[in-house]
Amino acid sequence: MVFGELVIPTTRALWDDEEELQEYVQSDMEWEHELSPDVIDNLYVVDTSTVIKLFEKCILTDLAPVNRSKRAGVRIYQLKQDTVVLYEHKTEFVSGEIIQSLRPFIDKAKNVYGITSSPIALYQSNDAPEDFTCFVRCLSTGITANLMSYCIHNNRGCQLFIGYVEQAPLDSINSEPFLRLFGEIGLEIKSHYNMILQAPSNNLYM
Amino acid sequence: MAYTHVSVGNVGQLTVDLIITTLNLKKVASIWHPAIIPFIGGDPYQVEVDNPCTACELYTSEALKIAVIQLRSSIEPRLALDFFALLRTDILNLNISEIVILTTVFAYELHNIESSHFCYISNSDTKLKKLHISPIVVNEFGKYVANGAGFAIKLYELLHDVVKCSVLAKYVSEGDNRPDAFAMMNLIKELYLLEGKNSFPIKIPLSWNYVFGNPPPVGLF
Repeated sequence: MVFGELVIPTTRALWDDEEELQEYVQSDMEWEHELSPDVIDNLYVVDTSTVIKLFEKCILTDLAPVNRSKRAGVRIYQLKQDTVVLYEHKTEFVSGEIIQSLRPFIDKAKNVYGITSSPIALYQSNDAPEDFTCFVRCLSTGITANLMSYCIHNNRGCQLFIGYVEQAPLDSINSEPFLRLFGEIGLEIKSHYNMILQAPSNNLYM
Repeated sequence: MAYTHVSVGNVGQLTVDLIITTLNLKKVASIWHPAIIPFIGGDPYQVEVDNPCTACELYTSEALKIAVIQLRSSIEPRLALDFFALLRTDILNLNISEIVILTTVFAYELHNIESSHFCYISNSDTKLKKLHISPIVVNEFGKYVANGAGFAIKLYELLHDVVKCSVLAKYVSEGDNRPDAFAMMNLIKELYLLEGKNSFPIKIPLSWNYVFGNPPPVGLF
């Protein structure tokens, strides 16, 4: 640091004072079909690559989505009377806009579930269970938190689950609590998760 | 009515925590809008969690005729104007007589450290003017200079022509900002809450026990 140099401290004031606010122009999410759901018993909104991978392998298997928005990173699947929404984070739309567009589904569903995951290191409590491979607790941030906030705001019931997992790849052991949870919230598990070992994409440790 | 949002040191939020706990305000509504960055957590004011808390909530006391909006996360800039327009409409519909926006500005903007560590903007003959608090200065382009104050100025500009409105800001740095919140709470007591009544102690909310998160796991040592 040079003497006299002005060092601006890091701050929680995220807003840049010089930035002018623009009028909001709603962008088109480019859904493949119209968002007009029929009857929905259970709506599952799924976030993070870990849980999405489990849903793809164990619940949806080779099912094709009934609707999708590539721009927003959202895929919608129909399982009999239940609807599954998989969300892969894209920067173009904020979670509030996605929840806004999913309102026809949320308002129609009898039960709403949000499922997400987080690294185990981020679990902030003294009462962590002994089995540290993976365990399930409630409360979260992100699109699933937005889902629950919307449901609370509209006096709707909603259950939100966050599975804390080690950053190790998913295998049959650390995926087990998730599959147990899926079964308990009415999902049919078509196959159990088996880890597929892949060669590293670089030769650093060869 | 008091309103706060994310700014330097989050002193506005901490002060609203103190107002809610000290005056025993009750949660009457949650506020949802796509612009609000989502958050779900435990109840910050009670051990027994019967209701999760969300990013933006309204607390009131009918007896004291006070309402506060606690905004615990930030606003997405792209959708901010839409949110503020709806907020303005709701504030008008609720017939609120006066609004105080609590915020902070960077401490390095305070050039005379012997002067008050608070500054303000107001559209009415407020008591703030009698407390030797400096008004927030306006630059050569007619804009208020309040670096680090987040959306407070923008919100003031949208509200000042329809309702009695003030921005109360404190010069702070990032860190343990609980003393700043106490100072702001004492000023609010003096300006708006006491009005000739006897003083009362400030109560600390439960969530302040976890300002720096939980203790590190025992296994670490």
